Amino acid sequence: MIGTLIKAEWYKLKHHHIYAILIIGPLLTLLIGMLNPMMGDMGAYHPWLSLFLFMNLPYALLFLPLITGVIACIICRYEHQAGGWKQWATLPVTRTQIYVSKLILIALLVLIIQMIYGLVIFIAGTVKGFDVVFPYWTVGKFIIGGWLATFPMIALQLWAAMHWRSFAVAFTINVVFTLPSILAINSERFGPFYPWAQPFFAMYVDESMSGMLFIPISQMLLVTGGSFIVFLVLGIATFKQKAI
Amino acid sequence: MMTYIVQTTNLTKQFDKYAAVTNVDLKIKEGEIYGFLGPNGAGKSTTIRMLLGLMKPTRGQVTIFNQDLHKHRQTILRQVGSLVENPSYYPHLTAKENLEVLRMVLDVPKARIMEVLEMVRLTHVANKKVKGFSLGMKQRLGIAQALLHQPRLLILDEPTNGLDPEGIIEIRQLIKKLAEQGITIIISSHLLSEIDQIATTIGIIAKGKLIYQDSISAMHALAKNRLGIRTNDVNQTQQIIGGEVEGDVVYCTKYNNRQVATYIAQLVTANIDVYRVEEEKHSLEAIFLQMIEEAEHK
Ligand SMILES: Nc1ncnc2c1ncn2[C@@H]1O[C@H](COP(=O)(O)OP(=O)(O)O)[C@@H](O)[C@H]1O
Ligand SMILES: [Mg+2]
Repeated sequence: MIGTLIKAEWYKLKHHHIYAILIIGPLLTLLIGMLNPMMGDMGAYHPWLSLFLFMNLPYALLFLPLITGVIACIICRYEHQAGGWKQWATLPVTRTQIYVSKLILIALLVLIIQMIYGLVIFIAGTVKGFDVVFPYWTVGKFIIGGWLATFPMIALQLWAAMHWRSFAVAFTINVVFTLPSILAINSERFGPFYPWAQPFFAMYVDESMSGMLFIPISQMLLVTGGSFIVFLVLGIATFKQKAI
Repeated sequence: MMTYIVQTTNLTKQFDKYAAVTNVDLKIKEGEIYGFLGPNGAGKSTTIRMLLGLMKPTRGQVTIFNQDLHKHRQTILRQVGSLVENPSYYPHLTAKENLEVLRMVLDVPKARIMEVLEMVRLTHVANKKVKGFSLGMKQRLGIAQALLHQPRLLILDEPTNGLDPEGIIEIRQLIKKLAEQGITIIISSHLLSEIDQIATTIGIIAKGKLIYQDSISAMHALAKNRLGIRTNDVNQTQQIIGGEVEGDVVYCTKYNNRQVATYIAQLVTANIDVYRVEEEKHSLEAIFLQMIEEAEHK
């Protein structure tokens, strides 16, 4: 049933220019990377490492969380517009199935964004003529790690987008939670516990290029996994109680 | 107990302190067109929302197809089609796409989409985005959506709202046709005339309370007209023509033109002064309004 519901949700995204939304984050990151004058001065470093340093930061800290929020808003917007929730909730499916299918679709779309991002950095490095082979393993790890790290945000943003009819309110909540990440990553005590900063940590590559570092994996699982479960359970509970 | 397709017991919904629906016991038999009548704000939509599990009752029970709604919601809803309050649709999708998205979940054959569009006469706009539809077209699309999976029970909440007279007649004919196919239909309205023309059973709700529930013919029986005769002598008048006395008026319920002429002739012969001979029409409308008024002053 969940599979059918996900397909139906995807069908509802017709005429929404969703491909443009999927591609905009990686493209903006590429633009920022290209405009950054420091990119050229990193000769001493591993060329891919300097590329990751400059591009992963704005991508994981800003664009990824913001676009995630936008997708959550879109996926609820058409339900708010003209009684969509009402119609969907009278189908012979449970509210949990409805909620989870939306959550999974958002997660799948974010995974596509991550893969587009991987492709973008590959193309960027190749065009620049890097003489070192593309570090597939490292990139693969931070793409998947970064993706998993967005789960709590997805759960919370879906909850907000479902609850507030207004796109503006849901999106503002998204921004309000996203911006403090910039401060959070500079705080060794607070940063590792801030859910919105997790994609950044998960996509941070240090000189050893072994990916997933900076904070212990167990801690990341605890923060990411813990906040994801809390937001998911609260979101589902709210939706189940909601009078439509 | 086993004979009702929809049955509620003590169905109640409180919004904070405000009781929108109080102890409603609906009893709806299979194959009926159940007219759910009540003024705006009476609690029709709230009741219907609870029948569909869109809203949890504060108290009471809903049984549909002899199954507890709370326990068997999915099984029940698989056989229920509904249109609640304003039509629901995705404005950015076409009429066909709106039906397709439901079809995927309901798992009915693709051909059914054109069938239901045909039934509500929307085939000519099948590929147009619904955001450009008139309210009447959206309303008809809503009915098509409700019919997609060939439900056994159809719940239509004010389906003719916003329709022009022609559209209303069309919907009425469609509903009658569906009822002939054996579908049980609950249709709500705030207009007595609408329910009167279509329903086989009527349930009247006012201020959240179900104040009347019976067959439409029983309701009509309440609406008997009578003839009131006022003279200078009530008692003698009654002796001559029979009937009942109410104040200074004698009422009789059996009267055709010939009888009326005879009564007057008899009264005149008996030297009684006839002041008024009036037919008192207890229209269905008047009875309905009286019921509502009584409910509201309680
Ligand atoms: N979600 C709600 N919160 C508070 N009051 C409500 C809500 N929904 C309906 N009501 C109130 O309950 C009463 C019944 O409403 P409704 O069932 O929509 O009436 P009807 O459909 O018969 O016009 C109205 O007075 C309405 O204002
Ligand atoms: Mg209503």
